[in-house]
Amino acid sequence: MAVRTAFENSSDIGVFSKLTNSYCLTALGSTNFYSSFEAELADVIPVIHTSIAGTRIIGRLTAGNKNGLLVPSTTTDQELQHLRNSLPDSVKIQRVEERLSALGNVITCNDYVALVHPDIDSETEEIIADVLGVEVFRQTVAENVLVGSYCSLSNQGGLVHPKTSIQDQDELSSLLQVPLAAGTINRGSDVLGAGLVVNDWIAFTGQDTTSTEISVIEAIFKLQGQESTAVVNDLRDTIIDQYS
Amino acid sequence: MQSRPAEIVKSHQPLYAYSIPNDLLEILKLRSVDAQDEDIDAATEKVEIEGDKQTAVTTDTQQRKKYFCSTTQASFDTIEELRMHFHSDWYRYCVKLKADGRDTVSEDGFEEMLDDLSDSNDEEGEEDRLSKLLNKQTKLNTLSNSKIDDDDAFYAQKALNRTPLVWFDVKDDNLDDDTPGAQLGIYRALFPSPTPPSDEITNYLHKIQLSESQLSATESPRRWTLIMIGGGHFAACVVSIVPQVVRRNKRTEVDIGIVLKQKTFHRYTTRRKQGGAQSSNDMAKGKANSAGAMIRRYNEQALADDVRELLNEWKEDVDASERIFVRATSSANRRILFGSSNNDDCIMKKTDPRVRGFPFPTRRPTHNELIRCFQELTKVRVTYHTQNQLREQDEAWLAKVAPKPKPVFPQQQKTLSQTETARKLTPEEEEEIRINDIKNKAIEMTSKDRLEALKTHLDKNQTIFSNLDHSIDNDNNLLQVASLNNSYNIINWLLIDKEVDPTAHGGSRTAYELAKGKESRDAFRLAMGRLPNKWNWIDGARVPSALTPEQLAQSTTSAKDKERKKNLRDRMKEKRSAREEQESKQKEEEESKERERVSKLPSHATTNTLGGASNTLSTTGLSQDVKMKIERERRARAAEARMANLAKK
Repeated sequence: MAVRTAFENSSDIGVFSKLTNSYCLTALGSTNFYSSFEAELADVIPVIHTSIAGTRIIGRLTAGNKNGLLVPSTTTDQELQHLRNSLPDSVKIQRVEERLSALGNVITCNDYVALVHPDIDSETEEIIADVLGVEVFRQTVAENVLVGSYCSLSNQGGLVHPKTSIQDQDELSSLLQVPLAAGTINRGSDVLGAGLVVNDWIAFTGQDTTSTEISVIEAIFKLQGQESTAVVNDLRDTIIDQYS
Repeated sequence: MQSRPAEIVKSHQPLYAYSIPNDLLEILKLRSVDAQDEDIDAATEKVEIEGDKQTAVTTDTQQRKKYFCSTTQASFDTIEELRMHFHSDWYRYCVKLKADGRDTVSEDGFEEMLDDLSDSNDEEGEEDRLSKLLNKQTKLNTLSNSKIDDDDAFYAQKALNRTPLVWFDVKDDNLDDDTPGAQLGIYRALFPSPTPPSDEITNYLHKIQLSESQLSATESPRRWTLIMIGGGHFAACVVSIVPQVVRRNKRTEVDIGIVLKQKTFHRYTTRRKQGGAQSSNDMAKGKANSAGAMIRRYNEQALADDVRELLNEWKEDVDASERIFVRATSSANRRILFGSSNNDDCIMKKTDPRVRGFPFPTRRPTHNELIRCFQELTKVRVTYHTQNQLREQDEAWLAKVAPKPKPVFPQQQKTLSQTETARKLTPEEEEEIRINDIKNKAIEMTSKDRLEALKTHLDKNQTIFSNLDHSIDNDNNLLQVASLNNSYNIINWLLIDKEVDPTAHGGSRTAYELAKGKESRDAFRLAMGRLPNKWNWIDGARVPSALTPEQLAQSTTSAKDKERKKNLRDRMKEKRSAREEQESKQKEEEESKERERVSKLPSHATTNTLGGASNTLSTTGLSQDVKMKIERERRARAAEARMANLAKK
């Protein structure tokens, strides 16, 4: 299932939230935003209201999966304590001293593999591997070093920048061992990380996302138990819906 | 008498670039400043050859295996191998190169680089090699005398040396340096790019001359396309480069540049008074909603559509053109003509070798301006200078475009010289340096009274510190260093546990006499009390009297008591007397001072931090080594504090 939502009239919900298989973080502020997450997730995983380093752009500053959460060095002690108290006990949390402090932009991961910015510190790389329990690959997506911004991953599949070449998609897909698709979000935006948060059973997208984009997302992230071949039929239906 | 070449030139004027008379063509020779281009052309040829080699290599690897890495062009049979490859240093290095937009290196090339690196120091583990390589390369890049930089500078310089005109000398054997010869200047844009070497350039000039048949042919003459676009104005024409003889008012004239097709149009797109295109304003400030903005936005689109349509209509002529001259300065305008990279409905390509810019300033795009530009481009410039004058001009030109020497940062020079000296050291010298380092560390610890750290340090380096009586700092031994720095804990430990000789004196004074504070002196006296017969305390060590712990405790407490009481009394008195007048005065003073201080401080020194600043001392921006050092210091201090706390309990 994919749900459209907005954070105070902004469609870039990936900036203001972080979704994994074992917890969800949302920024302080918009109550509607929080409740749209709460409505879908409350019974399953904790939805945590927090700020990081006093800011609301928590999705871009943090990186995490079901095993752990990485926060930048600018995170305050109170915030860290609050997160420790709210997260499940199985989730490790770690503050990272990394020059590239927008961890959400430089790291993208599912529960098994992480793609990271090529310039990331080797110490940080080790921390990522330890805390998140993933294999770390230094990669670019469509010649872009900000892998976290231009790529969105789950254990089922991944969506990458629309200009990623087929060759690169194959390479990434063989690394991640999940199917990949190139696509857009929020009516043609290529910053997938900012427009989309996804875990293994649900996706939240920006309010501007078209039904075509939604159906691609649902297909590639297997959010309705679809086969990936179903995308063609499904797409046709939505397109006919739109233009009839 | 044979006619002088200069005379020949004069007799033929005005000269047209595509119909230079044969007798003149025969005696043309490329001038020297331009002749320097030979080097660059040879160099580019070499690069091309290398490029061919590279393509050959890639065709070899075309026989790919199943799994393929697009960054390094390596291929593998199994997915595991590919995954291993993604963790290799070679791959990581290539990803970084690719992200910087540089060419990647082959595996062998990378290994060579690493080997070069490990020649200088091979103690470090594999892990660090990559970061080291990168460090080294950034260092190299910043040094002005690096080879890559040199090459770049060379080519840049060559490019700068190019003038828009290619100059030819009219050959004249019996010409001395002071008689004026004749020089012909033809726009470089008429020659292929990059300009061919000097022997070919004259041949090329021969080749492009209009032949008899071309001159007389009426069907499909050789032609150029000229296009100008800017500020909502558009002008384009297809011009025949074949001059035609026409009769005008009973006179025959040669008409140059017969216009085959022409079109100009104008749309209102630029913002009045503010200037600039509507689209650029939209980009910078967001969409304006005024009626004018709407009109301009619509007109921009309409202009682009008109131009595309027109060019499509002219496709045949444009395709048949020998040269296409384009003036479209803004990127929006270039996009109209050439399309963006993924838009293929444009008939012209940016990479088309025929496309040239106008090599001189042009005015508003009008038909007249196009004709003027055509005539300017095809006109042959003629000058009559002597060889000496020419030489002067060349020198002036070269001096003008010569690169300014880059400032070399003194720090870099220093590090360079340091590394140089370090390389020359023999093993013995290195050993000596190591020992000195260890001794200096011990001295530092002693001077800071860090007993635990010193103990472990001495244990670790027992061979060096086998005899603590030996002097380590100038003439002083460890005990003397400790007393000089008032490190009473260490004095105590040295005297009692290690039984270091207090009677030794390097200079004229013993360790006791060197002592800086009461605590140190007490430490000596305590030791004297503990081991009265071990040394000749009074005469040898010159310690006046022994002390027992009880005495010490008594004296300190009584002294402390006295002091405290006195202080208290003083303070009370002062307070009472000075409170009233001082309070008012101080307040005023402090306020004014504070105001001054804040106004003087730079803004970043005040507490204007962004949200969530960490309370730890920032180590960001420091090198890894320094960071480690600071961190080690910090931990040592914390550990000592803990130890002290424990000891108190």
